[in-house]
Amino acid sequence: MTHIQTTRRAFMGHLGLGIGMGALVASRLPGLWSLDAAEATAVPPRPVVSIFMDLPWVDMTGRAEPYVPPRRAVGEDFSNYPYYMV
Amino acid sequence: MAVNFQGAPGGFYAPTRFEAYIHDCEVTGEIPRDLKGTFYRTGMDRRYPPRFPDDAPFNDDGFVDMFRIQGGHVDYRSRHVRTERFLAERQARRALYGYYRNQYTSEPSVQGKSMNVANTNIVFVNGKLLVLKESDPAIVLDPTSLKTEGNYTWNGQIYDGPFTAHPKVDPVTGEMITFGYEAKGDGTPDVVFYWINRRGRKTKTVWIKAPLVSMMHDIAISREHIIIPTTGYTTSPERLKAGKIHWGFVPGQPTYIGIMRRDGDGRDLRWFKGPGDQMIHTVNAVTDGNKVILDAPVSPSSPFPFFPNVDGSPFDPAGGSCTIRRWTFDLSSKSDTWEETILFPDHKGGGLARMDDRYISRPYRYSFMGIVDPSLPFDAEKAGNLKGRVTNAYAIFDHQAGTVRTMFPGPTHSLSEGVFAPRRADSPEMDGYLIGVANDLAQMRSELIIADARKPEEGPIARVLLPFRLHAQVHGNWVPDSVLPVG
Repeated sequence: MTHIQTTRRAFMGHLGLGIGMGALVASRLPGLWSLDAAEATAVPPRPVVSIFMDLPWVDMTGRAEPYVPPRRAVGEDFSNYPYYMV
Repeated sequence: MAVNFQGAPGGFYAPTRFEAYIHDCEVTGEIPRDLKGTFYRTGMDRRYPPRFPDDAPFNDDGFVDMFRIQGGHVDYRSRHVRTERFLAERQARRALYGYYRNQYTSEPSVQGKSMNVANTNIVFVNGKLLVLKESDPAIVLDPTSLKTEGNYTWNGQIYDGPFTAHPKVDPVTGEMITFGYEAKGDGTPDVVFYWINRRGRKTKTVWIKAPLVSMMHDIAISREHIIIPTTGYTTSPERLKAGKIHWGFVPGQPTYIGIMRRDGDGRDLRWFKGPGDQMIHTVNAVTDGNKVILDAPVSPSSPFPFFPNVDGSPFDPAGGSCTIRRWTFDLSSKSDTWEETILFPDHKGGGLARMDDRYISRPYRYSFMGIVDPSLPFDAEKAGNLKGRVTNAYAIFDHQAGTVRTMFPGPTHSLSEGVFAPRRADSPEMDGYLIGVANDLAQMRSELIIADARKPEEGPIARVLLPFRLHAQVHGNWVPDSVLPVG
């Protein structure tokens, strides 16, 4: 039986290097790493103001088509105007 | 904290928050000399940012305005309705009330108090100008100053509960048939109907139970019957206690149509059941022998994106568009459903269909509705990315000939619900004027347009130009000088 001598610090360093290389490889494989990364960095959907049949409404899922007023209708200090900040 | 609407609906849809009076408005074109009366409108305009950003616009403060027309001149006035809620929030300088018709989401100090925002319809009946919200009693306004005078219960003849935004007045007898749903409290299936004669005297009360608790926004009357639609919007005490907005939409939920005789006591009420298409408004109904024929704008699915689907599915804009359909009920049949004909399948809109009101409950030929016509030009660069999402024409439907004629206000305009004003009291059906507010999305202002209903293709014959934009309208009505003198 062969024993490999190592320190706790060296073991953690090798472990970190292995995880990093694994992540690097995985990130090059579509649909593998990217899915986990998206979940890890998921942010709540950004609500949008939308218009349907002349009425404004706020879609909390952010999936509706936002209302973008004509540029001249929007003040310069309201660059986020079409979006509801919650 | 000061008022801050940043992030709320902006552009043309930002709250206006002011009241106005204009003596002798600017006009282009020529206002017909035989057009004399008042066009009243009501809609929504928020005084304070909502407590919940995804609240329904139907929960915004009631706002009324009027265009008084005579001698080719127009005077304009607007006011917020001074509801109990409006006054409380003005005193507090912030929103106190919660989600649309859910008292549990209001601040404790106002829970249990009236949530009435009085923003849905404005009618002149029994000598009173009434602003209506279906969840609350009618409110009477001064017809000249628009000053709020208080709740109206026909001198205590009817209860002080929910009163529909669409009472029906028989144009021949003057009898009004009105109703209230969730009449015994939020989440109850009880519906009350009142008959009120032309002198303002209540002649009958009938209580019924609906097969489910749902939005019951409108009814129709024929000379013999009352037609009562349910919708896919439901609620319950549990839903409200869970802190949700009043309505949740149930995709596929069957629609029920109740039919009962006008001269009965409600015991003949019969419920028909059909697919889950949505009939929020009606146009008209006629009884022909054993058949009741109902015309209405109908959408395949929910037309209100701010009332979420209970199954979590997303709003479907295509499913929310309406076409004018005819539902025929055979009272002699044992079948519990109806036959449907889509009358004008190529013309879709938001479901605010109207008619020449002199023919309510009677055989008629014409209806009209704001439509979204993608074939008409729309200048998105000047008006914003609203092509296909705003009403850009009035369509006049000829139910007899099966033809459609349209009135187009311009490539940067959207249209609110229009009304019809007869040329004279005895003019033939649809001989008169189409009147409605058009919003110029490029110029950021609104205008009242007047078109000859017999020549809609020629466009507006007059435009009353306002130097500001108007709030979102729900409904409006024309009151001729013969009924209410303009002074």
